[in-house]
Amino acid sequence: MWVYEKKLEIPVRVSIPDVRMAARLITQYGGPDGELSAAMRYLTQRYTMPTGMTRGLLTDIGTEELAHLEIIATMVYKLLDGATIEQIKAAGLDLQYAVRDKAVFFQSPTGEPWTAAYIQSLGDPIADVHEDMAAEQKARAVYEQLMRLTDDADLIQGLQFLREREVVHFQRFGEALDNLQEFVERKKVY
Amino acid sequence: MTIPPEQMALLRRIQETQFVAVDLNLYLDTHPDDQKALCDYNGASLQLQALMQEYEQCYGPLMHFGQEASRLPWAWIEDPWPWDIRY
Amino acid sequence: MVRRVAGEAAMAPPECVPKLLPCHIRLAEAYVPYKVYTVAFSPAEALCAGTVFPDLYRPYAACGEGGVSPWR
Repeated sequence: MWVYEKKLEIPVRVSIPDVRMAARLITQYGGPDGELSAAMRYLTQRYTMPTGMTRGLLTDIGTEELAHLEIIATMVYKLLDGATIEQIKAAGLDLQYAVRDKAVFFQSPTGEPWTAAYIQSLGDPIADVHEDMAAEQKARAVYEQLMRLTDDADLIQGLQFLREREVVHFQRFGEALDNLQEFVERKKVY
Repeated sequence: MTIPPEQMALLRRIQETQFVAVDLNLYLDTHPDDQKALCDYNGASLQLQALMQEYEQCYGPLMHFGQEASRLPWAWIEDPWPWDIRY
Repeated sequence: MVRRVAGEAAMAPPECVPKLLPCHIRLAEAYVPYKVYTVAFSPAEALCAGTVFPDLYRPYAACGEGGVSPWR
């Protein structure tokens, strides 16, 4: 069961509207290594995890990723706020605008819709947690790539937060992996 | 949309306190026997509840689905929504 | 589960902190060191940093247009 809190996890600021940066940031909304992928991956893997630790951790990190999805949407929303048609055309995003105005949507920056093919739930806990650790590294790398594409100090502050969360999540998944590996090892002893 | 400085300051304290609880929550998921972490988590949790109660009384609900009572008219649908606030 | 302090901690530079590795490390398995909670950022610092744990704080330095990837 999910409950919503009517506040962001962190205050989100942008210094100036930037249509092009909004289009880049969409990759962390509906792209392969974005927050939707992370949330859906963890929240669906948790059903077939064998230990309370892994069920709890996947539930909690998956829930936090939904909060990060909201942060990305807010960043995109603020970057597009007040943008004129001329600015949208100048950024090469008039085709996107024709389809859905300034609406936030689950797609990559080049327009591919989000797909469950971005994630996996094998039902093998060891494989699944390795997938989760890889996902955190990929998200970290994408945040670094995004931070190299802007000089907006306020936006960078928010991206630093999201990147740091990937570092922490990786550590926690690593700890859960150890728990799982010991669990499997203990089951081999008759 | 701007909000009064006192509301912003209280919201900030809620975000800070809750974030400590979130990060400690994840730590406790993989370190369930860590007494110091549990103590700090419980401290943050109590503080968070008090701060949220203070915020709700002055500025309206932060939670829905029965987590908080409301006045009339139904306050949940009122502005500001989180993505509109100018932080 | 019994843990031991990683042997290299005694020779580590001052900024390194002791980490724990599982006692039984097996081939073909990946391990991430554990770190027990000792010190914490203040709530205000933690929200800025993105974590309550100072030894997990790894800010990215090459921000801004013109920042260079370390791989190229």
